Amino acid sequence: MRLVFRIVLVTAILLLLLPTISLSKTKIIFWHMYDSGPGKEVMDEIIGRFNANNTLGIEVEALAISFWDYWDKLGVAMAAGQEPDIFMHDLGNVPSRAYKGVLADLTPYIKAKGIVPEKSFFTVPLNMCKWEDKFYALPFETDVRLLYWNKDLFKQAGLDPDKPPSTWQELWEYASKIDKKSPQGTYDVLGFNPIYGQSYFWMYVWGTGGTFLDNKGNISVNNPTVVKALEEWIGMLNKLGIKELEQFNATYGWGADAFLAGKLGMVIQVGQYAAIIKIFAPNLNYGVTHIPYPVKATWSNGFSLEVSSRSKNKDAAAEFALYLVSKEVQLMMAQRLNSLVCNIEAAKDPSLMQNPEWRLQVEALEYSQFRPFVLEAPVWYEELQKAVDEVRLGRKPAKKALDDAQKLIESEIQKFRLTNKK
Amino acid sequence: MKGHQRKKLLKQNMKGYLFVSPWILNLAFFTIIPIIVSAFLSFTKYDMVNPPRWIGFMNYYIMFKLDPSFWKALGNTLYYMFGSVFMKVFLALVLAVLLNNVAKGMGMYRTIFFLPVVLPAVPVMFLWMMLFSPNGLINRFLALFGINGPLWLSSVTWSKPALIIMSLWGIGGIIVILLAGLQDVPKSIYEAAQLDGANSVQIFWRITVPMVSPIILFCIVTGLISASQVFTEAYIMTGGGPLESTTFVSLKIYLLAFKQGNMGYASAMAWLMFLLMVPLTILVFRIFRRWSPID
Repeated sequence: MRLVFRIVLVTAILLLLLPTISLSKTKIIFWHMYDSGPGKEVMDEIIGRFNANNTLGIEVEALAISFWDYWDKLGVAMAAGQEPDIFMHDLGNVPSRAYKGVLADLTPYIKAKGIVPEKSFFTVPLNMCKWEDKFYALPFETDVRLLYWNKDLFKQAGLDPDKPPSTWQELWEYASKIDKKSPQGTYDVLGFNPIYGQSYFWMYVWGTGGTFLDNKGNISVNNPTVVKALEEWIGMLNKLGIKELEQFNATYGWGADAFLAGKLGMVIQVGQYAAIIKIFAPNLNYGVTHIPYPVKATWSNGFSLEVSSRSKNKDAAAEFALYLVSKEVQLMMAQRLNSLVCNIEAAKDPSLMQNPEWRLQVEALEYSQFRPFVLEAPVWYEELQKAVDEVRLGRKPAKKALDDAQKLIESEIQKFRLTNKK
Repeated sequence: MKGHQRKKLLKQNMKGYLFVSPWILNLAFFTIIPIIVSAFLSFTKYDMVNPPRWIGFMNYYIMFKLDPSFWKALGNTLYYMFGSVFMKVFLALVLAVLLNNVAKGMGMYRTIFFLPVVLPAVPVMFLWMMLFSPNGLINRFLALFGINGPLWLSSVTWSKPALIIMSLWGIGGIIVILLAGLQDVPKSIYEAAQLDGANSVQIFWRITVPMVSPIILFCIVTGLISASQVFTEAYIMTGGGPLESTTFVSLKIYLLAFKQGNMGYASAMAWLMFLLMVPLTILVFRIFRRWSPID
C-alpha cells in the first residue's frame, strides 16, 4: 500500500514537472499579418507543426496583426527596442532597416543549412533581401501584375474573345472598341482605364523599354525614356477624358470593382485576383495574360522575413525563418492560400503548374521587377507619382514635371547625406 | 509663524493636490516631458532605432533650404486656418443673431445646431466623402442649377475649399458661445438705436458686432489654434493629396515621424510651426485690441 502511494506520488511529481521541461524550450516571438480567415488557419497550422517538432527545442509564440495596423505597431516596437525576434516586413525596402542596424545578417545561417539562395529562390525577390552583398531577409511571398480581360465584352465589341492584346498599341485599339458612353458623356463601359486597379505609370515605363536608372545606377526620373512614356500615357488619358475617368473611378471605388461588375474590358491586377473573381463573380467569362509589351515587364512587391539584430535568440529565429521559406511550408501556402511564394521548388511543383493561371504568374516572376530601391530616398516614386498627377491635371508639361521631380528626389538624397554619417 | 502657516496650508490643501495629482502626473509625463524631449530631438538625427545623434541646426537648415514641401504645407495650413475660422465665425454670428430673435423653441434650435458637434469625427468624414464624390449629392444639387460641379476632393483647386466647407459642420459650438454673448447685450441699446431710426444692418454692424467682439476674438483665436492642428480630415479623406494640396503641417509631421522614421526632422518642423504660431496669435490679439471699441 505504501509502495503504491509512493509510486503515485513520484508519477504525480513527474507529471507536474513535465510542463517545466517543455518550458525550457527556447521561446521566440513572431509577428505576421495572417490575422483572419484561411490565412490564419494555415499560418496556425504551419507554426503548430514547427512547435510540435521537439528535436529543435524552439517554441514560437506568434502574434497576428492586421495589415493596416501592422506597420505602426512594428514601427513603435522597433523604436522601443522591443520588436519580435522574427517578423514579416516589406520586401521593397529591406536595406533601409539593414542600414539602421535592426536586422541580423542571415547569410551564415543560410550557408550553415547548405542552401544556395540563388538556386532556391526566385532571383527578383531574392535580390531585394541583399544589402552590401549579405542577406538581411528571406523572401517570403511576392506578387506579379497581369492583364485580365473580359471575354464577353470582347465578343460584344466584335473582337476575338480568345486573343488578348499583346502590345500596348493593340490594347489601346481594342479598348476604344469596347468603350460605351452614356448620353451624359460618362462611361458606361470602359475598355481599359490606365488609372484603375493595379495599373501604374512605372509599369508602362518598363513595358515600353524605359528605365528609372541612369548608366551609373543612380535614380533618374527625367531621362528621355520616362519623358516619352509619360507623354504617351497622358495622351491616352486625355483621349479618354480625365474627368470621365475620375468619375468612373469614383463610381467603382469602395469595393465596387468595375471589372467584376463587367463594366471594364481589361484590367491590370495582381495574380491573386483570379481567386477574388472566383468568389465575387464566379460567372465572369475572363482570361488572364501577360501585360502588353514591346518589352515584357510587370511590377512585384512582397513580404520578407526578417530577424532582429537585437534578438537574444537569433539562432532559433533564423531556424524558424528558414523553415518558413522551406519547400514544405511554401508549397502549403501556395496550394491553400494562392500565395505566390518565393521558393522555386514549391512554386514550380507540378500540382500547381498544371493550373495555367499559376504558370503565368511563375513565368511573369522571371521578368518582373521591383521599383529600384534608393537608400537615400526610399519613397522616390511618390515624387514620380506627383509629377504624373501634375501632368495629368495639365499644370505642367511632362518634361518640366519630371525635371522638378528629379530635383526634389536629389534634394531628398542631399538631405539624407547631410544628416547621416557613415 | 510663517513656516507654521505654510504647513497648515499644505495640510489643508493636501487632499486637493492628491485629487489633481493624476492630472498633473499626466501633464508632466505625457505633455511637458515630450515637449522638452522634442526640442532636444529637433537638433538631432533620430531614426527611432539608433540613439539620436546631435547635428546642430541641420534640420532647420534643411527645412529652409532643401524642403519646399514644408512651405507648401505651411501655406496649406494658413489657407485652411483663415478660410475655415473666418467663415465659421461669420456664419455662426449670423445664425446666432437670427436664433437670438427666435421667440419660441430656442432650446430646440440650439440642440439642432449643436448636434453635429457631438457626432464622432471619422464617420462624419466618410459621409462628407460621399457628399463630395463627383456624382455625390453636392454636385447633383449644383447640377439642378446647370452648374457642372468640380471634383472637390480630387481637385487641386477645390480640395482645400471642400475641407473648409466641411469644417462648417462644427459650427454649433461657436453658435452656442455667441448666443450666450448676445443674450448679455442690454436690450436698451437696441431700443435706443431703433428709436434713432437705425436699420437692422446698421444695428448688426454698429451694435451687435462691437458688443460681442470679445467673444468673437475668443472664437477666432481658439479657432485659429485648433485649425492650425488640422490633421484628421486630411489623413482620412485625402491622404494629403491631390498633389499635396491638403498636406497640412501636422499631417506632414506625422508622416515624417511615423511613416518615414525621421523623428528628429519631424520634431524640428513641429517646433518651427510652434514658433510661427506664437507671433501669429499675438498679432491677432493686437489687431483686435485696436479694432474693438470695448476693452
